[in-house]
Amino acid sequence: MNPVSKGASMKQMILDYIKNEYLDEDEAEDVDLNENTPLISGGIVDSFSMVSLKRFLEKKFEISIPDNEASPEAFDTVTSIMVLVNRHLAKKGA
Amino acid sequence: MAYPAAVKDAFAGELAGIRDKGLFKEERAIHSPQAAHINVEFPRGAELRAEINLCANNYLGLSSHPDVVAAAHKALDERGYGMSSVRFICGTQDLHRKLENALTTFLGTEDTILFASCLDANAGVFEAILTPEDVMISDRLVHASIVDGIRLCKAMHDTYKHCDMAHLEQKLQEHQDKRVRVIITDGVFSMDGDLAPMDEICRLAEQYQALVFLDDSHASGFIGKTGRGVHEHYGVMGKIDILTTTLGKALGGASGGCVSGRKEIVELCRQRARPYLFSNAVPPPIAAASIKVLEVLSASTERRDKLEANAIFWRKGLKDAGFVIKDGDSPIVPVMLFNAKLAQDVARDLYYEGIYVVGFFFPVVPAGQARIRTQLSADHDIPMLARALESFKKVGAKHGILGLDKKGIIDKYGL
Repeated sequence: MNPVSKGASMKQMILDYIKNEYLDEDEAEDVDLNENTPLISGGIVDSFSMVSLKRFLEKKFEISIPDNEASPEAFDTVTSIMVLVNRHLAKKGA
Repeated sequence: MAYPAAVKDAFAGELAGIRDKGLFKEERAIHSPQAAHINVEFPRGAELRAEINLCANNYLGLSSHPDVVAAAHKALDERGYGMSSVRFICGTQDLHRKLENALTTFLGTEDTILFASCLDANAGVFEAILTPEDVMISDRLVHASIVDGIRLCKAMHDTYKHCDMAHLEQKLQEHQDKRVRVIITDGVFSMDGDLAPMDEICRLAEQYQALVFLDDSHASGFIGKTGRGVHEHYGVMGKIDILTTTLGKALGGASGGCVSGRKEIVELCRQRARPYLFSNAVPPPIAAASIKVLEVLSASTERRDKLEANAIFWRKGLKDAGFVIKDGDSPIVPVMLFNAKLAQDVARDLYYEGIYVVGFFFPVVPAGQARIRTQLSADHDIPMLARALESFKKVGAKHGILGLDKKGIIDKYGL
């Protein structure tokens, strides 16, 4: 798999999880969810419910994200989440 | 003492930030007992205005009920003002035991322990009974005090979409490897006024071997045929493992709360719950008045019946007038305005019409869901509510929102 399609599939995987985990069916139609949609500051994911997203990322990508890195800022967009995940994947591969 | 200028400026800056965001909360002084009719000073120093109160948790109108006040007076004379002690040192009177027993009977549980507030009960119970091998699975709209209690506990936590039973089931399946699973929910959700489907929750709890935690603060005394709560409404009394509730709303309105439920859980709270161990016993007048409240409610359902009739009248009146309200079976009736400024403007205009209500907006409710939360009381009567409806219609017409649906209001005022 080349890096572009790998990135695209990671993005889609995270977007799909957020849609299923955090949006109600009626909300899903109203919300334009993409990699730059503010998740926490935009009120889609509350900081208290963020834990399931962290666990999903850890399980799916077989990484461990320390609590101090799982900040509302780091989790605020899918783009910033991917930066975090990729950093940990690189660390794992190193 | 040191209060450096830089620290003072930092605090002042934070306050200015709160004001700039329009989130500054200003208190209004009431110059009369808590009741359906109150005299309010607002803004500070302004002349008193007579208002119909539509935002109190005084659901059964017992806050200033003469029998309740008399019971408090009697205990004040006979048992004193305060205990000057926590319960386990020398703060337990016979009144506390009597009230705990009365709550156990009223709520249909095995045992009860009093706390200084339901916030304290929620803050203490999880930490007292759960370990890191356990999981707490909470509805996403539970009360802030439950969120605090969960944060204080070392068990894992997870959340499910509001009242979404399929999502809850998925979470229960995911966490089958844990020692203890606890499903955590409010009975009536305070901002929306809707009820948690306790029959479904108890069924899932049985299927997946989970405990059920229910905070019935906005239900105890009036939801269910005899006012025992949401568990009575759904026919699952006796199946709630941990029930917390408050004496600060329908049950007298002063203060105090409790954890009621399985004997072992209550006893663990007595041994370990930090807010119980480290704060004073409920004052004797409040304990005695609360016993009286339970006597009044056990003798007759008149008050909860009247409250139910008032809520039906109010919901229908607002709907017929063309307001958007959240449907439900409780005396919490949110009038949806979606736009934060509109909610504040409508609340202000109603105040000058003699109706005391408050606008709620983000972060108290989700962004784009600003509202005025109205709350009914058995102290209201139909003529009073009819007059309040006229005021709502007048203010609604002024803002041009009558007959508009959600989309119509958002198109007109934005989010």
